[in-house]
Amino acid sequence: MTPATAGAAQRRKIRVLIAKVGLDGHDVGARVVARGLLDAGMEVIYTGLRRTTEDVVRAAIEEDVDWIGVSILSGAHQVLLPKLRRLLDEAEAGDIRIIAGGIIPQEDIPALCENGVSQVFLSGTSIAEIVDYLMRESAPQSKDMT
Amino acid sequence: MEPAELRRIARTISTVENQADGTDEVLAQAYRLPRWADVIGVTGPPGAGKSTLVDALTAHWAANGERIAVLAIDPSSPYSGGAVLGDRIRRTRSVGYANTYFRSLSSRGHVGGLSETATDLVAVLSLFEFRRVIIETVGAGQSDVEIHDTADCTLVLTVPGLGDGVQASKAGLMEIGDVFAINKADLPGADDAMRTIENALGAAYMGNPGISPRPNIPNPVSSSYAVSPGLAALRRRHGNFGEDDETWVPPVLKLVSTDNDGVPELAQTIDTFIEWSDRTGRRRQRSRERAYAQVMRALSALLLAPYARAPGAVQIPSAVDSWVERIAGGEASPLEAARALMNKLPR
Repeated sequence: MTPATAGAAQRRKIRVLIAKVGLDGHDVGARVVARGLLDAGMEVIYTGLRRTTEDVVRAAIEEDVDWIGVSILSGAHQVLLPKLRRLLDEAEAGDIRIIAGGIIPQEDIPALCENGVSQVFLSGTSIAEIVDYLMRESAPQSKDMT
Repeated sequence: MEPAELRRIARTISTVENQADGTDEVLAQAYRLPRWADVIGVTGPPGAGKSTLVDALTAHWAANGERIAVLAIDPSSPYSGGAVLGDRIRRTRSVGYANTYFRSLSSRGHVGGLSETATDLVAVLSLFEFRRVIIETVGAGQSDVEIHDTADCTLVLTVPGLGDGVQASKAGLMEIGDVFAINKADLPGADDAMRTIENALGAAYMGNPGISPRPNIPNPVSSSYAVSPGLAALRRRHGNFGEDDETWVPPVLKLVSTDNDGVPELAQTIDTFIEWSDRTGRRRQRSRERAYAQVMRALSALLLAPYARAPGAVQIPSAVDSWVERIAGGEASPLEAARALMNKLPR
């Protein structure tokens, strides 16, 4: 191991894009989750409000993130989340995974998971649960992460 | 840029940022480029409007078809090593330009206003044929001045109402600007803020803002006075009025970035400075300073590597831990510890 690569394992951080898509102006939840992921040592990029799915895909690619966390309270999740997945796959960014949270009815979750959303966290979920999930699920893909 | 190319750029940046395998090869290639992108540093206190201005400047230059990249740095948590990177929120005007690339970076514990690898990343972006790179520093305190030798042009951004004339006379941030700008100039106090900076600059510079030719009359200030180190440093950067054919006096501009007021003029001023700096050899001199600072940083990282604690780790490496214990217990001094550890460094 050359000096430059020593410690690379510890340097690698889980990077998460926290995104708000469409006409949805409430981001308290998104910011609370961002803060929680920061406390867990992750690097969180926040898109700001009212982004298009195209913007979010571009941001995820430019920022080289492992995850996109979509906070959605508008009711448009069944349209926007599958579209986000499709655009990512078309951009050959199929390895970037999506989690979602917000106001999402229980009965919609199976369809979302079939359409490329890895996990849905409903209101009431603790930050620790989200952190646990991301840590656990990030580990096998990035073997250099401890 | 197509998604595939953006991905390649983004992943190469991650490689270098994480100092993962392949870093040495990428950097060896990047640092051998005959010419780098023009680097514009934007610095200033938190809330001055750096992100909004960077977005406006990006859109301005991108509209001319230039390939332009932004590196936006935000601080990392000293406790968890994590970060919330929020500069992208302001990427609204530039987001529609396919010839732009924006990357948020965590400072990852590095102090000085940049991240450890920021300068390396400029080299990497040059490899991907970016013509221009804008670096947005963390919200700068008075001593976050590392940008001044990384950037070809440093813009110090401030806003009305931050303090009186004494603030402008202080060391640090106020000394490193090639161009100054007062953002939110529609707020009361903008003229005062402008005057304060101009007065502070007036104590160190002669001539008019921008490029000044050598005057026909001899320098009225006798050259027999000793030149202070601070003044000497400014002269190295901006020339010596009365001696050199042309000198630079940092202009102070007023802006309302949200309305794009003053942004085209600012972009023009930055270009004028970089062109002047190039033509007069000052840019090359600055890149020597940058290279020296980088060698020193790389050297200290290599020397410290055996003793360095992994980012975010709690455990102190064992060789240092016994000394730490003795110092905390009042049995040794940090200097004794450092000397002893230095002697044990592998040769």
